[in-house]
Amino acid sequence: MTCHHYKQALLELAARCAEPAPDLHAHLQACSSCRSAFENERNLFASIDSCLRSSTNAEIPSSFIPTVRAQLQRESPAAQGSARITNPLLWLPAIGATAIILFIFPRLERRIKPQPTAEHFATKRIESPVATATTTANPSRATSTSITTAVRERSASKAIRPDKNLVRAGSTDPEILVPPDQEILLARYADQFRRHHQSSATLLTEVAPDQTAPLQVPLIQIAELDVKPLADPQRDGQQNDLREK
Amino acid sequence: MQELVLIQPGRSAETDLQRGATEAALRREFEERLAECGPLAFRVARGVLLNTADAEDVAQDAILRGYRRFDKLRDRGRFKTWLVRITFRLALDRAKSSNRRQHRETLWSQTERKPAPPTAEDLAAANQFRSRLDHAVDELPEKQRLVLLLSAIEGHSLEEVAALLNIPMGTVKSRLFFARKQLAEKLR
Repeated sequence: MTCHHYKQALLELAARCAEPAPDLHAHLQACSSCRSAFENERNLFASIDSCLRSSTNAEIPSSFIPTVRAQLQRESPAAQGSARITNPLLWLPAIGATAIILFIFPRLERRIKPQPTAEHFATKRIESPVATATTTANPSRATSTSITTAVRERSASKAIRPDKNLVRAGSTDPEILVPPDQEILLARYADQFRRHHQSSATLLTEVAPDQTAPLQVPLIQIAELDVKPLADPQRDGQQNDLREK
Repeated sequence: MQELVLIQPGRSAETDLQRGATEAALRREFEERLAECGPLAFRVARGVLLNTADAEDVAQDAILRGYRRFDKLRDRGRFKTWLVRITFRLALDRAKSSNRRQHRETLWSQTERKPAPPTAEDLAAANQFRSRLDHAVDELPEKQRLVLLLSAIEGHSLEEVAALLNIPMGTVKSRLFFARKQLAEKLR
């Protein structure tokens, strides 16, 4: 076996911190270069170990364990509960969500929504209760029996405010500007009114004309009243004379 | 008809008391382990970071994480293993981030062409061998590095390292051998 092979074996021995086998030991005794190489390797590993030990076994600061205990105290459930309320980080998601709802969503919705067209402002014709009543009372004014209401989507939004010319196109009927949140209610009310009005009209048509004559109520017979004075003047005068005496 | 809910106030108070007692017992158990595991966590962090202040921070962070999850650990006997691993991982992360910061600062100083004043770290790095060793240790694979670190901690035999990492003794020996060999090759 050559020195080269011995050196390889000796380096591995040094890395393992093991003692050389008898044949290696004999070679070390005989070969000075291998012996010095082995010694150098041992010194190298010794210095590596000492450096590693000095870095890992540094003195632990005296404040380390007390600081950890103090932090554990703060981590206790009771302390955590009070800290949760005051911790601003826990409020951030709520604040962020509110901001999104208030600012970002309306803007996105506005961007996504297409530009209003004439179809958006298609008019919805509903019968106004007032106008219907007027019609029944005065048929000559039949031209004003309906009221046109612009049915708009989000007419409250200034960005899509409908063009007035579009709303008025082809209609000479009077118009009512209805707040956007009341147009459905008004339509429902008008619908109900129309239905009730129709039923009342049918009732009126079925009534016979003679039944509509005024009722004949007999006059109330009241006997003559017998009026009596409350006080007797002669008797009062006698009582006064007695007192003076 | 109004819906009624059946409650038992006496029993809920009893449950609260039981929960409080359990938490107190957990806390006591953790603090008992802290006396043993705290220094170990610090030494592991110190071995990676080579800086006492950073090591203290990292070890505290690891211990607090351990405390938060202590009740969820199925086998509390392995808490030490878990703590060593999490400390090692956190320390590596911290070392990487500080290296990046140091690199940025170096670039900044190069662009400004300002001579950097000697710092405490520079003075510590005056020992050439030590700085080369630190560099070589940084380049070791993580598994080998952890074994090397734990075996360098005083009072830790190879058997203990194997038990701590829950790996066979032969694996510990082979990792240690390859780590030392690699270090020697770089330092030769």
